[in-house]
Amino acid sequence: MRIFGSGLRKLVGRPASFVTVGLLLGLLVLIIIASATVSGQAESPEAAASALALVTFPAAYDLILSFMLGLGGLFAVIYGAAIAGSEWSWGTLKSAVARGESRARYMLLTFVAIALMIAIGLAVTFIIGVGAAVLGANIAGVPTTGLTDADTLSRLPEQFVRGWFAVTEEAALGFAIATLARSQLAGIGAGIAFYFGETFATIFLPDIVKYMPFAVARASVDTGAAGGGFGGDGGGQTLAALPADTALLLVAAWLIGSLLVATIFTERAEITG
Amino acid sequence: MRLLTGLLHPDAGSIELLGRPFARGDRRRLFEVGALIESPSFYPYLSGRQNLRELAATGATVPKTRVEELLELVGLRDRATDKLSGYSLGMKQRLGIAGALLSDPKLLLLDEPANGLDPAGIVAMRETLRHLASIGKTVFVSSHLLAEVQILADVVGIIASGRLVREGTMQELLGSEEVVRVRLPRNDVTRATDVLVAIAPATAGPDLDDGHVWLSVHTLPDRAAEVNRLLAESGIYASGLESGSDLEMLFLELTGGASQPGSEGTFQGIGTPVA
Repeated sequence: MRIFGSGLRKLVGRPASFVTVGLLLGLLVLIIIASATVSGQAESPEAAASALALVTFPAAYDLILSFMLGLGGLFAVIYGAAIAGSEWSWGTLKSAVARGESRARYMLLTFVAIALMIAIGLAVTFIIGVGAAVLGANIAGVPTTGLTDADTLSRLPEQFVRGWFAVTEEAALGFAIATLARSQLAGIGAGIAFYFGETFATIFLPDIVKYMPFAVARASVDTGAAGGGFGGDGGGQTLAALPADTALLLVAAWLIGSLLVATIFTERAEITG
Repeated sequence: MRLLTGLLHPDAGSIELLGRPFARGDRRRLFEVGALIESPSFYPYLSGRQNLRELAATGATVPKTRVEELLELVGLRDRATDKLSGYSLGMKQRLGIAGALLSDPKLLLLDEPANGLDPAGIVAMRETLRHLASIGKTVFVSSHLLAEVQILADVVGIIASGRLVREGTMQELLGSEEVVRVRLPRNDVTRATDVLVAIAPATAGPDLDDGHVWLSVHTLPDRAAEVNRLLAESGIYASGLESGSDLEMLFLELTGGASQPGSEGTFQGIGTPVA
């Protein structure tokens, strides 16, 4: 519990936590407000409707969640890599181990703190994103009656939890990569390369990529915007996504696998830096 | 030191820590050990106080008041709220020593503890370590600053090329290397060596920049006055006189004075043959 509390305090004080959430939130709000303000200048009714989708409830809920899962996945892998990598780059893991701390416990509880920070970050982003969408709806003159759509609101908590789980899995992947790289910068670089590499590979290997960590993370949340939403499959290729529940199981497998790799590697590593 | 703190795992052999065997699964034994290995490692975005608090959350349980006590001890109380990224090397080093003392360890392992400290800081650190030793703690220091080691240590081990080449109390080691050193003009060395044969054999060191040489007379330190008198009677006037022995001379003698293959941080001086 001491390690978890300490891990949380360290993350709260870390600029990367605020920068990550700030970037995600800033981009989301910017896109929403831009969509609302330019919708009136659209050349066709289809283009106007598309621009207004982000500020039209209840569909806006799904689109905001989709955005968070898409770009949030990239940010999560970077965040996870930054936290794990810095433990090696700054030598702080060395200090903890030399004090007799369990390597496995230290790494796992540090990650639990990351998972909690992700939940807080996603919740803040979602709430402010919805607020921005309401503001955008008012700017664009779109009614907000769908805001209280009972059907959407009833499935929103489950979608949010699934989304958090998916983003946490992506952070775990970055966490494991940076642990293997023993470096913050190398971990972040490799994590970004993995993210875009998987997206690029969709063009050539869609049947394999659908089982890969970022694809299953997106597929595990049925936002109704998957594939066509933000941070979709990219590469101009639509991925035949797995059923959400199957994808969720694979997300769990990737999450556990990543943490196992990080833990076992840390346990066995010779700490020289 | 890394093996002693569980950072590295031995390929062969065994380790004893505080008189008992120390194996891979014995991490709790490190609750009795405090260590500062190489450079101090902290989070740059946290303050000194926060860094100590977070470090205290690992390993052995630490009383809440301990962090403030240690900040006071290492003289960082006034800067405790500053971010570590704004600390000088010496301040980081002091914080590192505070971190090593967190769990009030029985054994303190310090790697180059004087690194980055100003003269006042070195004196304060020396007094702190002496105090810890006086209350029954074992302080193990690794350092290249041999003059500092000579002042600080009771027992010394000299390692060359990864092997322990000499170990003993400071008195034993320096007692075996007694010498009187005389600083003379280069031109007088041969004559001085002949004169001093009456006392003991003498060996000349390398030329100094100003045309002088240190001549080492291998005799008891209390014969320094006699050495000086003999030289003066022969019309040779020393510009410097030192007696006794120091760890640096012993180290150079034991290691051959040249850098060892694979040694860490040895400066290849001008004129030193490189293997």
